[in-house]
Amino acid sequence: MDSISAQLPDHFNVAAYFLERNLAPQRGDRIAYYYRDQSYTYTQVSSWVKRTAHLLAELGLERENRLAILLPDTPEFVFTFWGAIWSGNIPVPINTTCSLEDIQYILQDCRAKVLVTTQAWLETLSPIQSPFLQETLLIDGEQPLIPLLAQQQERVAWAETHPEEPAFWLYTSGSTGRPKGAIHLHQSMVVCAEQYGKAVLNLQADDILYSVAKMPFAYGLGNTLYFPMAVGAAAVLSDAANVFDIIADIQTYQPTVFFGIPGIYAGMLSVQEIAPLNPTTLRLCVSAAEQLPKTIWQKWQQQYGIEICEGIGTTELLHIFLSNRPGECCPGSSGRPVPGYDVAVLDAEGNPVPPGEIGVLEVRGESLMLGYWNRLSATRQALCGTAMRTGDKYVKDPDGYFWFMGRNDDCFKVNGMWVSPFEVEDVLLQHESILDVAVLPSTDSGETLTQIVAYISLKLEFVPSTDLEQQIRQLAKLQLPHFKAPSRIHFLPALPRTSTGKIHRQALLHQRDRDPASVEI
Amino acid sequence: MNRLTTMETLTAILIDLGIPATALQEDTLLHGHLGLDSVETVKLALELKRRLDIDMPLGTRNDMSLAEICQRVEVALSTQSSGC
Repeated sequence: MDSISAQLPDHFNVAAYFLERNLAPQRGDRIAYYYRDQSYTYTQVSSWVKRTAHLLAELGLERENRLAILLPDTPEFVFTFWGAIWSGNIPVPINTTCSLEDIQYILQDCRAKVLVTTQAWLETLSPIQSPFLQETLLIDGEQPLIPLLAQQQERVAWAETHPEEPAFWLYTSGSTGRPKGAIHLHQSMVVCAEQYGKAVLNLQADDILYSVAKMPFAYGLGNTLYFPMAVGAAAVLSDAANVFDIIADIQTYQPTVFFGIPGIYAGMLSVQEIAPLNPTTLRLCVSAAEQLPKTIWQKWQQQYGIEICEGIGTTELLHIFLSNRPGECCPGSSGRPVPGYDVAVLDAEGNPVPPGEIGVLEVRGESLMLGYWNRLSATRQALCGTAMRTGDKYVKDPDGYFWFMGRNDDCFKVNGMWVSPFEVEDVLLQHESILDVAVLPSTDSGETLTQIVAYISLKLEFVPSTDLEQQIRQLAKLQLPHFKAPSRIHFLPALPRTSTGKIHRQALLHQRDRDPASVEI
Repeated sequence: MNRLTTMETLTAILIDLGIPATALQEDTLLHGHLGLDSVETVKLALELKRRLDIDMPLGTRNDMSLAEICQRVEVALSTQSSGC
């Protein structure tokens, strides 16, 4: 595939690119977004975006100034994201599932001058610790954003930005430490929309897209925000928080393309008797964010007659770069490279390994981030020239399909979100009975979704019991997001340690794989 | 099954999910107060189905208190037993 970025003009603003192409005759009246019982046409979206751009200029926001968006998927999210880019400002969406500490950190780290949020979030965050914040816009409460926008002009010229200029940031929860702001360019959304949205998924103007992942996630941003605009399709802005909401949404909006994550597919299958899914409008199902077990793929296909097109992407590359193709899915694999991406499995010296051998994944593509904001060493570690080292271990088979084999570090994903075992262990160690603890993922050899298992060695005066296990699980749920709480606890007399005194996670894993009973007492 | 037993069943399921008993009152909201995530909500619905043979979709848009869930369970059970 020819370079997409090379085809873009020097003066290129991605908000103007996506909005203006949908204002052509017969396109402007098409629905761009569904939200609750409302819908917004492309003409309406364009008008609100320009009004937002005008408001931001009135507030004194200048080129490259950051604007933080802490919102659920709502029309105001869409308007402020595109409005900021239209003006040459930098929108920084913040995931609403972040911890309060991380949100405060992100606000300071990105030095946002304007925050767009809800009254409830403002109260929760109060006092906001960032000295850079000058203005907070609320979408509800006494002075909501929409009436304010209605007073603004919509004649605002778009900022003449460059395709290689930063357009927006996405914070990655990452596998370790504080969130990192990945800086993305104006060209990047076009690259992902063309190479994956159009070339792989064959998205069309009559599609209605529904995404489980919300817009502050790179996966959700593409699915809901810019893929539909790339082809003139519609997307659903949903506040769904569990499988029952999602099943109800599918009944209401009748999407044609469903972007899910493994845990949601598993959940929808398990409640099919309680809340049956009506899949009649779905032509395509997609999964990303973590490995989809083969058994779930097969059950879904058996139950609904639809393949799940699985892929993998990262925040740093903005969207999916390895994907199965509709009609050519290989269940359990991450698929083959998306056109325009060069994906290799390398050994420790950086040389390609033969098919069938495990190595680390390295990806080159035009949607690669510029780097992490103010994180030179993390940027240097992640990027190697035009390539990114994802930290994933993979095998490429002789047919060109890629198979996930684990991580280079100790982190893992649950419900599509990173879990650091150290964070969970720190919380568990607060329990008076625990001497030593190791937290590991369990996937039963890829047959089931990842679960968190805690291996615990107790102090001498305590003995394993169901009550004690209950207490420990309750402590975890009180102090951690629920998805990070261990779903299983195994008590051991002692945990294996390395010569340097660290917990020997690999030994524990091998011991468990060899003889599962040996790690239970 | 009487109301107390339904409430006992419900609280037992929630305690099994790792929710502290002290957090469970009649007016406790599943999502608003307990913050059950998608996986926990699915487990709760499946357990209600297994233990009480009740189909209870537990969406977040009509958040229910424990007392409201019990009430719905009892209405459903009485409808079943009356052969409707």
